[in-house]
Amino acid sequence: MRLGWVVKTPLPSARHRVEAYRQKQFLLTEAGQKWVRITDAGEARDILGQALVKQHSYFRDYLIRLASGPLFMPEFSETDIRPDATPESLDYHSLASEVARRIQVSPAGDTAAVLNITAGPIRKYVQRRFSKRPPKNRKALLDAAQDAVFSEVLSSENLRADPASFVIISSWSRELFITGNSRYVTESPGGWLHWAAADITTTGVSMSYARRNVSKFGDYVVSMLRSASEELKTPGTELVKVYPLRGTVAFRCGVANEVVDRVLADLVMKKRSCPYEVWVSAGALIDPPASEWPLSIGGRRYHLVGFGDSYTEKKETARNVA
Amino acid sequence: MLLNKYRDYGLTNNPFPAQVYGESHVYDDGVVSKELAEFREKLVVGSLSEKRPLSFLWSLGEYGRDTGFGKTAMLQRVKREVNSDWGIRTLTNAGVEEAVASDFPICAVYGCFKAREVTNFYAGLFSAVLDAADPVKAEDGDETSLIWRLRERLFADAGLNSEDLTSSERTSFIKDKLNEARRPYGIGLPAFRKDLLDLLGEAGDARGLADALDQMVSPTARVRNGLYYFVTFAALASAAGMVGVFVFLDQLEDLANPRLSTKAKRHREVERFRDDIFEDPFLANTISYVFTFHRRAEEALVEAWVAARLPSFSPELRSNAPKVVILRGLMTDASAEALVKAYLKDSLEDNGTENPLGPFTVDAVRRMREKTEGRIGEFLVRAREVLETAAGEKEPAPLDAAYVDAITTASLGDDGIDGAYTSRAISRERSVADALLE
Repeated sequence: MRLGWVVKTPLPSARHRVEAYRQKQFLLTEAGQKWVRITDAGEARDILGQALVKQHSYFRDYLIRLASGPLFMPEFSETDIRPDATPESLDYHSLASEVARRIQVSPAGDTAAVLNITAGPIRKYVQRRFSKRPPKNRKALLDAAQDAVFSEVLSSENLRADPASFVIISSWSRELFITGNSRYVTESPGGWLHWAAADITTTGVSMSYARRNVSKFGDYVVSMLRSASEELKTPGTELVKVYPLRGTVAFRCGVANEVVDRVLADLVMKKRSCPYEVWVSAGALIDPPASEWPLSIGGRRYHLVGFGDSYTEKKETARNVA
Repeated sequence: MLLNKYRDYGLTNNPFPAQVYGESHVYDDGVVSKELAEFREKLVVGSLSEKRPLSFLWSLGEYGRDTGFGKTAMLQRVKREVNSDWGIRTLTNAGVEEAVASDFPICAVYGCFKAREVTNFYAGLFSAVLDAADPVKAEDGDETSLIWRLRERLFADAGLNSEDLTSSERTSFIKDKLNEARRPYGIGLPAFRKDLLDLLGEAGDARGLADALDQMVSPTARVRNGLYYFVTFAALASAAGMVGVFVFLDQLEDLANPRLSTKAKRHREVERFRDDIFEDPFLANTISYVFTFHRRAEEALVEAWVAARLPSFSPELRSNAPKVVILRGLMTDASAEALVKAYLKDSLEDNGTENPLGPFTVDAVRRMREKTEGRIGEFLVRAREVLETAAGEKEPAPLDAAYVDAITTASLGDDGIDGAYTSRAISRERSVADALLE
């Protein structure tokens, strides 16, 4: 509706009103009909991206923020919270200082506004959530604390989105290949790292971006894959899990996560020249985390990848030794 | 056969297996001749001459798949060959002179981890003892087993006929011989199982011994005491003059499966590899293990493996080449044709004199190889399905690549049947293929 692609109609104002709208049809405007008739997925994606930049200020703010450097959102697990913790007894000072510490040591440390992270707003956020009834379990308390942390980080970064909107916005820009994000970048100290996967420029109030695509960044990704795998592999094996490799390489090269998948697939299918050998393995016992996915080539899924010297490289090395 | 649907193809039945887990009754050496030669040279002769206690049989597929390449069939094939003449044929096939080979008698057993019951190293070792006790038909038609032949060899070497002794005399003799065989390795080693020693003395034949062993050891006892039964067996082999006992341990993924065992348990089991494969002086000197490995097992075990300081199993390292054999499945059309011929041979009414590929054309065999990624097990099952479907549809011979394509390509919706199961991965792949990324 905000893009002008759906006819403006009232929307449910609260969760309990959703049921009444289940059968309601929303009509497309002429511009919306024109967009859905686009058969090329890339073109449709691109037009959607441009429209979002123009119409959605939170989306635009997020991209402008990433243009100045990566953004890091610390995340916590249930084990980070004491089993008997309550909204009153939670150690908010330690939580706030851990948030600040993680941001500082993260790749976003140079550009982040960590000085504004304080315990007070986090406490207020959590206690407000449970003002009427206490948390059902530790997970509920964690979710509230996590939202409070996100809210506080976003606020310190002058981003106006609330935590839920932030998650949606970041997934939009990720699907449009304008940004990348991962929880498994090797440099990250437990959290969600976001980065620009495009050259984003602002002129006055207008903003434009140019994606860092395979043709320009493919070779960089090829060289980074091998070196990152050396850091990520467990001693004793040549194999690396795909998802941390994808996140690490995409971040270091400043490209979308999908660019790494594309380059890997091209290397495996011999569509791109490669200075080393690449092999993939189904690794069917591995369940990637919910936010990640296996490398998919021709409908086959792979969880593990390995790299070795190519035959010519071996011969060259042997010749040099001789 | 109840009904021969395959007469129109000149066949008496459909000889291809419906499932190929485990051992197949057909094994054509020509299909994996290189790998078989490597197995004999590296994993048998190499292990003996280098005193190497642990080697690896890997399967690595071109497309990252890692099962169905014939590891089990290869292990069973070599085990049978070794046990047929105490290893003479295996050693001579690997280049050892026959006169020398007869001075190095060896035997082999096959153990297998399973998702249920055989879930730890000791239970795996017990499964190897059971395999040694499993009776098979000998050339003279009688049933015998490896453990029974070792027992008889023990008496024969001492110039005794076991039937002339009472059961208690036999037990006492066996016990003395086993202690004597292990004495040079010092004291404090795992105890022999008294119930197995008694059984070796009391059993009247190979079948009786096998049945009694299977009944007397409960699943819990196998998990807890499998090592002690195995040590008793190993000492029997050593006392009977074996210079090496090869233990082929299969299905390591069931030991490594993170859905079946905890990380702590995997670490404990891998520590047991160190204790019992490398640090027990008797076992380290007597036993050579061959573990089957593939990527899934590697991924699940590597952390514990490195922590236990066990030798590298990585198939990519040249320094590991002497202890690693890699099965890659049907790498050529010729190997696929050889496999088809081997299976069809006994079922073709004219014995394959006219067309040894039976109803299949050369391009049909090639297409089945491509579609199954060279995985031998999958290939055989696919051949069975094609033949069965063709017979059901009364498709006239010859069966060519187009027919294989027509019946093995999914046709439900754009993505085929597979699409229903892989939609998330496929949509991701489509996303990755987006022209915007180019």
